Amino acid sequence: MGAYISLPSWRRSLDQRYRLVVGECPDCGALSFPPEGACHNCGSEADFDEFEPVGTGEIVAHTVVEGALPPEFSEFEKKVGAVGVVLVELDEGVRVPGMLTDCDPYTTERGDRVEKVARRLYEQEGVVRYGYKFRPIG
Amino acid sequence: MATDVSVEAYGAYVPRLRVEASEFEEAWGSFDARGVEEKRVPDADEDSVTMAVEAVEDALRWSAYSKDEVGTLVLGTTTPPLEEGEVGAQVAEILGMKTNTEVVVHSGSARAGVRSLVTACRSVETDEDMNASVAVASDCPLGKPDDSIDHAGGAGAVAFVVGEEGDVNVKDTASYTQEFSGTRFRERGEKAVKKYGATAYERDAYTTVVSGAYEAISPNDTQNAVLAPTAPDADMPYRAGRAVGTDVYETASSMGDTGAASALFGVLEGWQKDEDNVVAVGYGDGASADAVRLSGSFSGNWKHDTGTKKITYTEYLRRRGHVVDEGGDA
Amino acid sequence: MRDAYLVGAAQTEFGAFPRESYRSLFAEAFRKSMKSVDGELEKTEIDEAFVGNLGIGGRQIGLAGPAVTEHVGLAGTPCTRVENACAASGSALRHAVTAVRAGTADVALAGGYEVMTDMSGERTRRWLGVSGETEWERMAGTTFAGVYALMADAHMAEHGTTREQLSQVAVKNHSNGAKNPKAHLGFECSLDDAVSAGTVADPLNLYDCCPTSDGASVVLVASRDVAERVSDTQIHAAGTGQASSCVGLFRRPSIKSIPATRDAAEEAYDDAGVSSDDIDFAEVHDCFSIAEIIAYEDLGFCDEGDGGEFVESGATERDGELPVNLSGGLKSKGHPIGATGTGQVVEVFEQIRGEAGERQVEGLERGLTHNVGGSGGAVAVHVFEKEAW
Repeated sequence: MGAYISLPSWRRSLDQRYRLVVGECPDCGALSFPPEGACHNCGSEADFDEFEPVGTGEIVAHTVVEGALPPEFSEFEKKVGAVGVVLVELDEGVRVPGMLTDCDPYTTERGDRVEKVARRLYEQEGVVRYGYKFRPIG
Repeated sequence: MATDVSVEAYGAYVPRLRVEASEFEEAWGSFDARGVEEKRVPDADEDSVTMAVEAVEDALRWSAYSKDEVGTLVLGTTTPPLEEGEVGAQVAEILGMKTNTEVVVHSGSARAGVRSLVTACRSVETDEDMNASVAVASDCPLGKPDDSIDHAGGAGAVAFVVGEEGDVNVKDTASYTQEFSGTRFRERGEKAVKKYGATAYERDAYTTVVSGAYEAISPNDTQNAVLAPTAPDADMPYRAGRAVGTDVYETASSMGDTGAASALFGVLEGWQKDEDNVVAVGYGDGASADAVRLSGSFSGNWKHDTGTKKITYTEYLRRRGHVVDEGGDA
Repeated sequence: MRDAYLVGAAQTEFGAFPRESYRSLFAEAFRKSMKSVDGELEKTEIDEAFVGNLGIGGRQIGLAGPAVTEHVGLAGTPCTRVENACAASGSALRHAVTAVRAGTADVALAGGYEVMTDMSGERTRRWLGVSGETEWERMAGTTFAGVYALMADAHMAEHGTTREQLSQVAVKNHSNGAKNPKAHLGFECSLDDAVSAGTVADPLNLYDCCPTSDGASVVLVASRDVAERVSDTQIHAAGTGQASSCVGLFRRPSIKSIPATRDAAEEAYDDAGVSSDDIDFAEVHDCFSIAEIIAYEDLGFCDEGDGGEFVESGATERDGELPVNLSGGLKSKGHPIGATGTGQVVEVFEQIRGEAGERQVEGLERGLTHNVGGSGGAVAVHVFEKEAW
């Protein structure tokens, strides 16, 4: 089973999955998602200052996937067809990838503002994995 | 209640997808959920957990309490993602509740929604630290595609923030239990709810137990409180209403069967119509029911009628997982 | 530091071969590579082997390098499996070149192989996700098509790159690939076909995406002494460059270019003492049409943002000023992940030696290969030039 995320690995990332918790580098102020490893900007290995962003941001890149989703989403794909995937720049200034939900993926575009919402991502070995998705605001 | 307990805020979540009864008629030749004109459909990435989270977040937005001041979280649902396993833990974690929050799950029956409210009230009564409790009923019942239970099956969640003070006072609670086996149930390992299918028996069960619970709330104080009962369709609730002689509020006609959340949606409907003396009755087939009398009301539009999307019967089948597609490999 | 030379290079057909094993494919590429040497070279002269492979179709077998070198009679020869996703054999090549330059090998083998078509689509997608950023990008719903689609979206928004320009890459590479007997999808396609193909991940459609293929390739890198002895045409491995970048697109400052390509190219040009202007032809990593357009910019063949116009101008056609992907590229020739990097070298080898058959363009002397892993987590760039001495 390739590209499998173990449950303990998944659990370590719940702050990010549920609340998009971001890290600020104490040395240079750059933001990191997830807040782990060395700072991508300055290489500092100091612990990040973590905070929870508001959860809103702007779509900076957008695609609609038809029939080419990763297999974790095979069943989901059969149920909904085309799925929007976006790169969102959160208002705090850090980018996160996410799936669109609660909208027509074709009419939600680059430049639109979105907010995070908790949804089912996928189920594996009987356990449902929840996480953030993005939906248009308003 | 032994001490003052009130509903201080409420929240609700309704999926944006909806399907009309006419779609079912076209597919099956008839639509077998009495009185249901349209219902809401959870999207493929929604379930009782995600809807509960949305409803609680909605309620906390209106509440004066912060989530750190919530001492108890009670979830009521007939459709947890696992038969065994603390679904409450996932709801609490997604919401960001403190680890020492008392997390309770009531399941296995459509009574679970009102039961959750009762548990939340009891928690407030006994909490010395003046914490609030949150009760959330969240559900998306399913039946077999060709039967009336599925025809009725809808989805939604309602959350109440309960504390010592609030605009809606919890006056009294009561219970009624009498065995009427097999009217409606879901077996282990099954996704679809079944029913016995003898209409008179089912009506007898429902009206006896629902009115029994309603009337168990001190009859002198009831003062013609209106009834907001568990609503498996838009017909059954009115039978109980006629039995006790009062008006009924339900949302099955526009939302379908919202299971454990249905009685609380009925309460919201009553408040929308300016009712300020409402008895919510959570009915669980088998049968047991809880009644809670609420005095006062809230305003606000909770129906989320904007931005909805109508879907076809086929899209409904696909989303609800009724159709298993074994082909189509990339 | 010594110099390193290409003395042999060959690949199998790329395609779907249910009757071949990963060992038999490697063996075929090895045999052909030994045969491509002008003079006499014994396999016992191979001092070290570097073999690129991602996962043999998800089997995730350990010792994937020794398993194939043993199969061709090289048990005992030091062998290392190199994994850098789709840049595996390009990275293996760098190891071979630096080993010869450093003097730890007089002859080094660099090659790669992959079997991708013998498992169901679902299983293939499952193991292919390994080379992307799994936790966040994959679980946001992207396989590689999705990631490159996001890059295409940003590139089109910022630079005005068009749907037609993307498709022109496919038309060109199919036109070249139709002349390549080794190509997986060796047929021409019209601009109309390419533009109107079904969507995979908007804006990328079926004709913007390379296939998954089986295949193997092997190149032999040698010291000047050995090259002098065995080669009639001297092909100097003049420049080697390799760089890495954040595996996930979301962590990069820009998603309209691949920083590792810029860095690897800079190193390779520097090493070879040339600039992008001096390159006669190139094999670039067109896993998706947008990848080729972005590669033109990152390799310095045109200015940033002008990649779409560059392909539209015809500059990278067979008869253009800088032919790109004369082999058919990944799009038409195919993309057996581990084999692609050294497969690109095969085209350079054959073109410089005048052995490219119908694909031959006269007078090509300095070629560049550009091999990318994933969406740019690793990139290897090499410059080869014909030498006369």
